[in-house]
Amino acid sequence: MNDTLTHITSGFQSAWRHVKLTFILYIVQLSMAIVIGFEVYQVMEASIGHSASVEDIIEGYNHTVLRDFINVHGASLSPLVGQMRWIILVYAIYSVFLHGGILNVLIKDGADWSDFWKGGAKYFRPFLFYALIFSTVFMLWTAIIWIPILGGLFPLIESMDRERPIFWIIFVVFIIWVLGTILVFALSLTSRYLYISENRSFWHALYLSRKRIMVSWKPHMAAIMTFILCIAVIYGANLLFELQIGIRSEFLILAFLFWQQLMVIVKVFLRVALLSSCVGILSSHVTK
Amino acid sequence: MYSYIPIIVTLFAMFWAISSPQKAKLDLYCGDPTGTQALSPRNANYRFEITLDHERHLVRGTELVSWVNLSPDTIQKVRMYMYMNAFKNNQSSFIKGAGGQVFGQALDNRPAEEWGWIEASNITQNGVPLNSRYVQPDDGNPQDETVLEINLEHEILPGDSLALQMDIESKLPKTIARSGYSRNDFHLFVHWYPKMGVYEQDLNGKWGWNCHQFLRQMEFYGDFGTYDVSISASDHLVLGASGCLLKQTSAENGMTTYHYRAEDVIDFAWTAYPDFIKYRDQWNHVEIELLSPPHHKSLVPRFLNAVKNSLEYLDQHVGSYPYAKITIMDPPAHAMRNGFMEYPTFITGGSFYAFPKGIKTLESLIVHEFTHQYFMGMLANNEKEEAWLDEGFVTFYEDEIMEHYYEPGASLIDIMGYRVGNYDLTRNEYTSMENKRVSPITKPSYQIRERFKGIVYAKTALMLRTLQAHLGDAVFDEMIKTYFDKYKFSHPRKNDFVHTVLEITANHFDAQFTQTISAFLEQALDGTQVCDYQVTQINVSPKPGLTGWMDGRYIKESRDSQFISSARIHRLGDFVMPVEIAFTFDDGLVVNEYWNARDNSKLYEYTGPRRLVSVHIDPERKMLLDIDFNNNSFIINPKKHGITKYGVRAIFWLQNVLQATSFLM
Repeated sequence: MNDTLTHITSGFQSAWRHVKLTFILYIVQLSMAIVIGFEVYQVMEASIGHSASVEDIIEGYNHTVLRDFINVHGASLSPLVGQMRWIILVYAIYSVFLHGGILNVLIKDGADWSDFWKGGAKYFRPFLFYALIFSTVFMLWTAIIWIPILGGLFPLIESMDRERPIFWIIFVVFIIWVLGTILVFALSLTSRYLYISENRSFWHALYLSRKRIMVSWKPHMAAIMTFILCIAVIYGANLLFELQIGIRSEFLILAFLFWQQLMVIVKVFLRVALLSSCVGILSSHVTK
Repeated sequence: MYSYIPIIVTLFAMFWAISSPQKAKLDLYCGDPTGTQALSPRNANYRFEITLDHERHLVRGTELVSWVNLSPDTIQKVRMYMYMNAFKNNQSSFIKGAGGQVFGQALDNRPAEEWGWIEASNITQNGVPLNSRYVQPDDGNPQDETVLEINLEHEILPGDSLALQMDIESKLPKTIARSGYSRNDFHLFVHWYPKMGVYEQDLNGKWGWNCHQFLRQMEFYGDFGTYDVSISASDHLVLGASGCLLKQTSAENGMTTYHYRAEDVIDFAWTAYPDFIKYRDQWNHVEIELLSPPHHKSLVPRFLNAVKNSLEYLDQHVGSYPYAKITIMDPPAHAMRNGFMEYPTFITGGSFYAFPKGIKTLESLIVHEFTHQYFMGMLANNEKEEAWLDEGFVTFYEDEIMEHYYEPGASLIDIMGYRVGNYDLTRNEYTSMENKRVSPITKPSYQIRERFKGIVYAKTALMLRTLQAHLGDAVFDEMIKTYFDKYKFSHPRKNDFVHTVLEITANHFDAQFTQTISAFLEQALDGTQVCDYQVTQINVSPKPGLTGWMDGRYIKESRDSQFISSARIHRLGDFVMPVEIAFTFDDGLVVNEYWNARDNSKLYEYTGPRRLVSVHIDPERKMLLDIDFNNNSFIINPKKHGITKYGVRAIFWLQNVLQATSFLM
């Protein structure tokens, strides 16, 4: 337990030491998201910008204003949805590069800034294949778990005398799905770690990752759960902040923009810290 | 002193019995259901003695029908609804019309025991056996057995009574649409008995049987009467039904007989399930009984409050609820398909364990179904032909009640800042329809093939809301109360409603306004016109001074302090309804104009020292049928933080999506 805590702490320390990594991830995300943000603004401005309705949405969610907007101007949102798909795809591919760079920096002792770019370029191709493999595994896992549950929800409800067990079944299935997802993530990370740090071949690293995870399952789980908990706290804080304060003035909108961006930065930082913790866990299990 | 003890004990016992109805052994209290004064014509009266075989999900017994001929015709044949036969096979018009699937449930592979049917045998009139046959007045489908025609031995003269006796066997299907059985001996009996059609005048004044086959989008149409129903059922079952329980007798064979009576109603429904827990409450003279499954205990106050709120609101705004009781059946989740429906003095809900507090569909459903006690139960319009007269009115009052008793603007959903009012959802049901001209409201319900809810429920509710906004709350209430008082316990039609509206409007407003309301009703009810007003642009420019040679002099005037302000108003839709327009100037002056909207557009122009800063069409939002409120106003310099907020939010959520979708990259 102490070891795990040490790994988590040192993960945070390492992320702090390489805080540039956090910022580069954040800047890339922001630069892509801002395009859509501006377009949402422009579409709304062009269609309802001079309507008194825009003053109604200052107070909060207004179903009538937004539904009328979507009913009438929905077509002008369609290109945005298409654009968003492309942005997500481009970012996903670009993050293969980013993660290659980040892991290279975190794994190598005394790595400098140039190692980030070198790692990103060097490991892009194998990591892209890892990404494809593990994304496919994840999608299959999700489909295996949820399609029978959701497709069979009505028959399930109709086949049970009591309702409470249905909730427990869904809860247990959800936990199983989360655990499986964590396992896929851990395997994905371990394969890449072995590929970089131990110079294993693509397939060998993939094969060994299963064994390595089996011996370091608990600390991995603890680190990832800590990360998930932190994310949940952040989302909770965001929701509380928004509901309590409300965003009704220009000043508050500006303040909220900064607050949300701060949260995104913290989330990215947590991600780097998690990667760093997992790298620490994996390296300690090699030496052991 | 001691002689008083028995009296004190008796009084205490009586007080205890009255104040603790939940602890009463028998469910006998129901006010005075056998009031001597009939509220309705009571021309279709029924008496049943039936036994429930819960293992085979069927009832058997006898039915006595006493029907009075209120027409000027001599009747030689009668027609009866046999709606349970809609679930006899996949060739019935109901199932064929649903494309073989009802509520997403495919029916082709049903085993024999899961179908339902109804049979009437040994039909006699004064002891003489009668011939009968199934007829298909709507679609000629020979496989459809939902209407039975009986040839009478003795014709029935105007004003005379017919007494029919028959043996009935009614088998429930595994629930397809409401009527049916589910797990663990759950039963809901609706459309379970041969029921008289309605002998009435059609729109051309011709008398005849109005007895449609059971088709999709069809519910009830029946005459008022009394129901005397004795049900023998296994004593492990808990029963609930329309009307009041008068007597409950247990026999040694493990069967209990329940004697129910309902008066001045058009139908009778009942349920049986061993796990029901009964909860009781009271609102003025009305006993409220809730039958709820285990695990729903935390939802009980929500159900009861919704009913009490409805009773109170409708009592104040429509008329009094004359019955002694209302029963609510909250089905267990496995019997959810049996819920969401209304029957006289008996309604069914829809909820599940741990139903979230922030989602008030549980309440809105109960409010909706309860309101049907007025619009369908007492104002017993023909739901098969004019469903808007009940579903539309009920949706309107559902919105009113929900917005009145729960948080306005968030009366339906209030979760984590996502707030939706009941009315918002009703309006969106209509405004989001791709083709809003699909059908007029008044088209016979069974002929409306698509977007039934958007037209019949939502557009009617919006029509009523528009009417309310134009007449004002007080006049609108007076109109509805008049309509209710005049037509309760009868079968009102469109013209009855329209005449009432115009009569009350004429009493309070001038002829021109009454004419406007008449034109509005004509378009809203019989037309498919769409209403949409728009203000596109405001132009403000300095008024040019006089310049040039005039009367031999060269003049160049400066008029910097004078402006020409103009705004163009459009009627984009073809629904013509006069509308108010508010023009606001930079010094705060508001000029209200009234546009008759006969032309497609109009340019308003003002000259003076003030500059126009905003225009608002229909500022009080009286025209609820307008499909886009956003284009009803134009402000030169609006506060745009709202849009900025959505831009900022879009950035934040996309950042989160990017991070989430790249976790395996």
